[in-house]
This record gives sequence, structure tokens and C-alpha cells, in this order.
Amino acid sequence: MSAQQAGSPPPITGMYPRSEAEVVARTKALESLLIEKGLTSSDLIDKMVSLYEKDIGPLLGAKVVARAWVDPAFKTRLLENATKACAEMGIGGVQGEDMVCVENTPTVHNVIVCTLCSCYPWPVLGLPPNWYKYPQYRSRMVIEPRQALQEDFGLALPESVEIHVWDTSAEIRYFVLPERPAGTEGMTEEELAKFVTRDALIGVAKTKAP
Amino acid sequence: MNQQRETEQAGGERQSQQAPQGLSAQAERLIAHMEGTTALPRQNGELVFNAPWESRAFGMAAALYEQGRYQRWDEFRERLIAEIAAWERHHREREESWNYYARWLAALERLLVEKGMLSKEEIELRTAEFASGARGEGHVRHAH
Repeated sequence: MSAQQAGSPPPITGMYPRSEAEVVARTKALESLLIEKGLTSSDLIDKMVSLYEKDIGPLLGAKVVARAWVDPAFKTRLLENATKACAEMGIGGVQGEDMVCVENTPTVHNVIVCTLCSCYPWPVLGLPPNWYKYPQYRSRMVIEPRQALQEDFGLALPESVEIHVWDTSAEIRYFVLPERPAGTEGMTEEELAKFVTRDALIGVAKTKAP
Repeated sequence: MNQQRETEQAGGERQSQQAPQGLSAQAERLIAHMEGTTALPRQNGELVFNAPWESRAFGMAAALYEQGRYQRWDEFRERLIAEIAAWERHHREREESWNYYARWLAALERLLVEKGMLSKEEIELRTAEFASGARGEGHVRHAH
């Protein structure tokens, strides 16, 4: 992140209210004021919510991965420029303007984190799960990834496997290309996508086995 | 739809923090919150939003960005980072009270005020009206 410069937000002073009743009232206040001033509409807000509740989620990332498994040329393009490759499948948009796909191999395991907030490749994964946003995950994964994966996620990786932690704090949004599970030869893309979980795309799990 | 690519310097800094004490208890809590390691991508059993206000807070930030009311997503994100950091400085021990969307809402409010879209006074006034029940539900979605 760039250093303080003109246009950066001023430092925070004062505590922010925390009670549920107050946040509910504040949220309503913001929305009603924004609508009154013609700055937005409840319809557009509804649309954004619905997009991420229903349409945009890790199923899209699973499709991308499945294609990469069956189509080596697509995989090459995906690793070279994930945003462009995903666009071939009609996948893209906000928070996916600059995506990078990182490939797992027998000797390299990748995992993504955003240490400062919760940056996440929305177009292929939807919105992040709660634990991804927790201070605990965000700090532990960069400090001691092997233990974090083992203790917090039950993923034991031998010492022979290097762990690469990608901090999604800058402009780039990372997601993982997990290894194709054994015993899936000859399967279609649609069948293969079912083995790709959200957690495998983040890197805190391997793909499901057939 | 605002597809304009934001050009800015890459080079995110890593903010390393001391790992909190009592890791096993916190790890247990993490695992209890974590779902979906073996479920299919869409069936991870976890709500995207835990309460309607969270979805509205999200929707407002996203909609205003889509409409170009602010030009760079980072204008929101920087404030979110600052809110999270401020919370973490004060609340390291009390992870139970961590609420991500409360940080999000705070960042959104700052953005709106600092960009001159809304004033602090009118937000406080309107909040009080909703909190006291002087305004009802129907007064959110439609302009008066």
C-alpha cells in the first residue's frame, strides 16, 4: 500500500459504536439518506446483495479450475493472465480486475490471505467466509502457515512441500489452482468441478477425492 | 458498470503481528466458525451475511462504487483497513466481539462523509430517528 499522501483518509479518532441496535439504526440511516439524495437506489443495493448471495460464488472458480485441468492451453493462459482467461468464460468484474492464479504442484502449496482487511477474488469465489476475515487467520497464516494449516484446517503438509503465502493486500487478487485429484481420468469439466471446493481455491484444503 | 481498472502501485506491505496467546483455544474457535472444507462450493452451510444490516452495508458500498460515486475501490478499502487496524489495537484480547461488517459500516460512513456525500450531522440525526422508532422500516427504501 502506498504511503500517506494527499487524499488519504485522515486518522481515526474516537471509538465506533458497537451495539447491534446502533449499527442497525446507522445502516438504515445511511441507506435512507443516500436514497433521498438520489445517490443510489434500494433496487441497486438489492441487486448487488443478490449477486453475491446467489450468483457469484466459488462454483465459478471451480469451473475455471476444471477447465484448466482438461485444457492445457487454457491452463497456460490462466497462469499467464487469470483475468483474461476467466473473461473467456464470462467470469470477471469487481475485485477481479487484476487476478492471478497460482498453481499447486507436488512440491508447492499455495494459500491466500489478506493481512490488512479481506481482499478476495470476488468473481471466482464470491465473498469471503467469516474466518478469512478474522484477525487470527490473517496474522497467523503469514507468520506460521504450516502450523496454521495443520492446526486450524487439518491440512498436514510434509516438510518437502514448500508453502507460498500470497498476501492479497495490494491490487492483485490471488486464487489457487489446486492439483487434480487422482482417479478422475476421462471425467468431464462438469464432473471435475464438483471436486473443487472453496477452501481448495483459497488453499486451506486440498480438492475432494473421488 | 464501472469496469475501469484502477492503476496504482502494487507493493502491498505485510503487516506482521505478534500471534496472540492461547492459540489452541482460538484455533478451536476458528475451526468452529469454519465450514465447507468438504462441502460442494455452493453448499458450504455458511450465510454470506449474518444479518440484513450486513447485506445493506455491503450493498451500499458496492452499489456506490458501481455507480462511480467514488472512483477507486481503494478509497473504500483504505478506510476499511484503517478501521480494522484501529479495532485491533483496542480489542486484541476480545475476539468474540469481532464483527467484520461493523468495521465495514464504519469505513463506509467515513467514506460518505469525507467525500462530501453525506454530513455527519444528518447521519447522527437520522440514526437517532431510526433508533428511537420515530422512523419505521418503510422509511428506508423510498425517498420522501
